Amino acid sequence: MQPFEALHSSTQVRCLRCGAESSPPQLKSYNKVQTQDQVNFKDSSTSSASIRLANPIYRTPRFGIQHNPLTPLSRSLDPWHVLFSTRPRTLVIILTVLRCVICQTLPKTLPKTSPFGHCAPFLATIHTAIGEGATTSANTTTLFFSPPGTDLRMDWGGACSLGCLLDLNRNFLLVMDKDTEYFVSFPTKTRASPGPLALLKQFVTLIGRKIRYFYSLSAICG
Amino acid sequence: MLKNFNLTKINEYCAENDVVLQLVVANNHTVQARVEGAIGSVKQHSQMSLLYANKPTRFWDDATKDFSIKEVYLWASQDTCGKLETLHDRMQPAFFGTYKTVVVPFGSGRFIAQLPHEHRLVKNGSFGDRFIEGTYLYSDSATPCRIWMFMAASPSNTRSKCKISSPILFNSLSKTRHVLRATRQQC
Repeated sequence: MQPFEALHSSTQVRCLRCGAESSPPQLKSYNKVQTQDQVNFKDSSTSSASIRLANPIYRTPRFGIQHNPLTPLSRSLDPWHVLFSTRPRTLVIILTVLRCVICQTLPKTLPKTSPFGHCAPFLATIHTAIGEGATTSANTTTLFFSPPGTDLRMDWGGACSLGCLLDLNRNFLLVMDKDTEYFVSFPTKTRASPGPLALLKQFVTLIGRKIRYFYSLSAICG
Repeated sequence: MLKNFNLTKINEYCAENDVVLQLVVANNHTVQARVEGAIGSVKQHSQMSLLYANKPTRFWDDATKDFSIKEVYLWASQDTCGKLETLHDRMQPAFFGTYKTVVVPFGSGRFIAQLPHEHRLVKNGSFGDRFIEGTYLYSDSATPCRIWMFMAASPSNTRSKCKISSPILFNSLSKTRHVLRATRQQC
């Protein structure tokens, strides 16, 4: 499964807001509003719970969810409505908890090609449920991380500590992958021939992957 | 004062292959910590290989290659799940060596290489196979079951097929704690 852009989905989720967030609770008119359902409910029932629901004093956010008086209470308690109508911070917490639960339950044998490798099926389900699956394809996804084997480091190593060498094998080029720490050393007689570019191409041919990032020294060194 | 890299060619290569090139200030060990640490490790173990094999320092490049292959192919470390993996397992490069060709210590003697009939050391015209003795240098990464060995009769390095009559004599590295014994099954 191709990794997808998780940040883009959170941006899309932030755009989904219900009326509970758009209406400021600080306004007095907000607290004075009573729906016809609540009036009927208050008239028909005399229990303490119904009084607490109908009383605007008790309209405080519970579990991070603020009840909109314009929406029925049964709809606001719907789990999918709760998931997509809460504030972004709450949604991030819910997704994080679910991700941890799925990570503990899924087997460890899934490919770890991405930071969300263990949770890729679950996150793909959420991704489709939000509605981005139809708009984002695998070809247009931009990766914000480097897959293993694509982030290289390169530096020269001298053999000065070994003393004077007759055949002038004094240098070796070491190319290392940052994530896996896989490295290959290329001993050379001089730093000019063969050049580091030829050795870098040899390393890329050996690992068989297309590199993305490449760190090397830029200045002059003795 | 020598230039470390020819930046013109490397810039052209990176531009053609869409590689993000990040330049680092020279002698900056903070940024290049992993590479500098690996270079130091390679130097130390190359010296020890030369010392234990009683080889002169002109075999330094062979010792460097041999240690790089051994560390990548044999030394295992734990990943995030606690599973022992070698760097070779994580990267899966196009490496054609096997456990038998890698596990041999550097400088081990009594290696027998088969000479072709066209070799200059074959003097007479008999059709029998010719063999020559040498010492192990490093495993060949491009050819299966081949090693590089140094022949004292013709002072040069040659690539030959790995023939070990008694592998238990070269089993010293398998006593290391971090060596994966499961890799023997790949041979």
